[in-house]
Amino acid sequence: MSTKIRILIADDHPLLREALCQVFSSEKDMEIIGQAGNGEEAVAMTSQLKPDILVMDIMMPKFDGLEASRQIKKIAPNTAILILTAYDDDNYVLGLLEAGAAGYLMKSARGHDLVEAVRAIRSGESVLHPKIIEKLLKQAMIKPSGPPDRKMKDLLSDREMEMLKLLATGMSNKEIADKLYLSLRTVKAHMSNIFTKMNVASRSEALVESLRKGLLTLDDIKEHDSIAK
Amino acid sequence: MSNRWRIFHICALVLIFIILSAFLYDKLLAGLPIIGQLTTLSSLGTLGYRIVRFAYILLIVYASWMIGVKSGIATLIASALAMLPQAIFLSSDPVDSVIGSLAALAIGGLGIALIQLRRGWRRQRQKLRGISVALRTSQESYEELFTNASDAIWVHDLAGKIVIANNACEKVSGYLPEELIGKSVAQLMSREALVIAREVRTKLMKGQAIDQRYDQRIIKKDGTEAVVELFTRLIRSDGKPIGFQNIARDVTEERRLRDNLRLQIHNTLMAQEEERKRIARELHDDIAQSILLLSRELDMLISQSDSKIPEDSILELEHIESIANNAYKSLQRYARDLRPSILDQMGLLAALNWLTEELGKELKIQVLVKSDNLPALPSELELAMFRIAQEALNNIRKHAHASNVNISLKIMSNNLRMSITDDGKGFSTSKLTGDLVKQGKLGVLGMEERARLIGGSLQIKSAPGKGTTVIARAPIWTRQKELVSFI
Repeated sequence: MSTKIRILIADDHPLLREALCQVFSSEKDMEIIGQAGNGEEAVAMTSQLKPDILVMDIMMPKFDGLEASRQIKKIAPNTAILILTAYDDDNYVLGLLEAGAAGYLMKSARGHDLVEAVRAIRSGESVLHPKIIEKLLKQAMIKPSGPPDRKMKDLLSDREMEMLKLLATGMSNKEIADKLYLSLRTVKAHMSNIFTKMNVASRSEALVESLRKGLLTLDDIKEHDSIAK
Repeated sequence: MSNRWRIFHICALVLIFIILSAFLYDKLLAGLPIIGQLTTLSSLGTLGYRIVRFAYILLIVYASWMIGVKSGIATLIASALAMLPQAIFLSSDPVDSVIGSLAALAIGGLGIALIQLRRGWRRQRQKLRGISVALRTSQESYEELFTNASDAIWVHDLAGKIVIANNACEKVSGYLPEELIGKSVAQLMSREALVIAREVRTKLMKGQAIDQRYDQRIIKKDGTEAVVELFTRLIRSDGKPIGFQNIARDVTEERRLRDNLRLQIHNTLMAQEEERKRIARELHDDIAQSILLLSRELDMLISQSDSKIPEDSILELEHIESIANNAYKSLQRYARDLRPSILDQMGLLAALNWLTEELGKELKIQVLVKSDNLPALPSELELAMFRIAQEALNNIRKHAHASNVNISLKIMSNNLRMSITDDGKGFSTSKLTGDLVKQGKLGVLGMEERARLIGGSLQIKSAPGKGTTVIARAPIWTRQKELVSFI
């Protein structure tokens, strides 16, 4: 990708915000386009600047990172949100994903990991642990979502549906490419199409959305299990 | 009559009978020495026999009077057996004698009947007198009970006028019983109390019984308010309602103590939440962020590509960084235990899931959370329910030895119902009554109080060996003024 990844940073601690900026500023393929000091600012700046990625602390005054995420997903669905959190237990993470986060990192994560996570999200890779994906699927199955959303299903091509199912396994783009005998470029293109059609900005969101719309079923997961074996 | 007297009378009876009979048969006995001389009536002629017959009458009356109706009849028969042969066979004028004898017997029989009649009448009178005595005694003891009962008792008619009141009424109302009689009960009641009184009245008049005592506030003579526990009953006469009987006990002090205790628990809970929140925030906002910053700076120092730091020192720095990160993590964990941010951020269900997973991991038991689709809930409700669950799970951890725990959240007509069931060893719920404070069971009181503060209720069901179920219910939409904010 020739254009730089445009990043907005939201954290209520000025020093930490500064430290975050420094992490990204040394990367040649990224640029910081703004800094927000609370949830409200984060929402306002996102709707105005439309960044590719919003790196946001979850604990913030005004509204917290979760509430901000929900609002941002309504006004700027193409901005992927990377949440920085103090907790990473499963229920917490599921909550983050429900709110529309593309991924999460521990606040204590190293700068290098942070940069990698931003890149992964941007290129449509999975940033979730397979264990979390499994949990997400299980939870979705407990809550019946009703009949599948026909409109959404019709919108996606057979190939895209196939990829959506593989996506639920946590396979990387490369693995998917190998499995389907496609080039990595093609897979990325498909991913990008899927995201556009579903009006999301990341893999995690595509997964959450497809579970919400009933595009993936328990059978799909079983299928995946057999693939995994 | 004593037995000895009875024998004496029987002896006398027999003796007199023999003597009379001897006079009657004087002509047959005339040949005998001495007795013949003594028993002759010849000088008196027929008059002598009449006297004897008359004496028989007296004898019959005597027997039935002194000994009894049976001996009277026996004497009557014996007299007939004695008189009739003499009258028929020995008398000079049999017709006159037979008539005389029969007349004597008839009079004797009449005597028996009269005596018997009198006896029955007397017995009746005695019985009546006994009843009236018993009646008076029981009435007295009832009056005594009523007057000196420790509970205030009064009766008022349908119009509310007090008809009768006992001494204890003075303790409760400050009015003497005499002052109360004729007064209207409405004068003793505040407006709120009147509303309750009307409800009770309507219910009772409809024929519904009120089995339970209810709390009522009355205004005393000195203007102060007393809380009484009241039991009211409809009094009927011939099926028609005529008034209300009230039994009241002054529970002002009890209620005051209870309210005090509640207030104290309430304040403690609030202070606790406040304090926890403050500490958690401080830990998180201040210390944690500083440590985080330290870690970030170290990270940057290490990852600078043009670093002049020697390799050995980088390893050292990485070690320091990991120490900082661990400190950060444990700080966050600590802050979360104080105030679960997951609850504030993701709601009750996520927080309960988190809580149960922790417990499940710790005790290696199965903990399941089932829930209806929950609407957005007020944060007070969520916090209260979360803390109740936390306490219940704490008890399970400490006491239950359960292998399965189920939490269910249900929405039932504007109420949130949370039940926490375990299959542990359970306990006897009778232990939950009495002085919980003394027994150190503040946890249960705390749960109850939390439920009460959000306008809800708490119920604990358990029996030894049967597991325990804690059910908390609370309205989802609480009226604003009733909300006591923890936040």
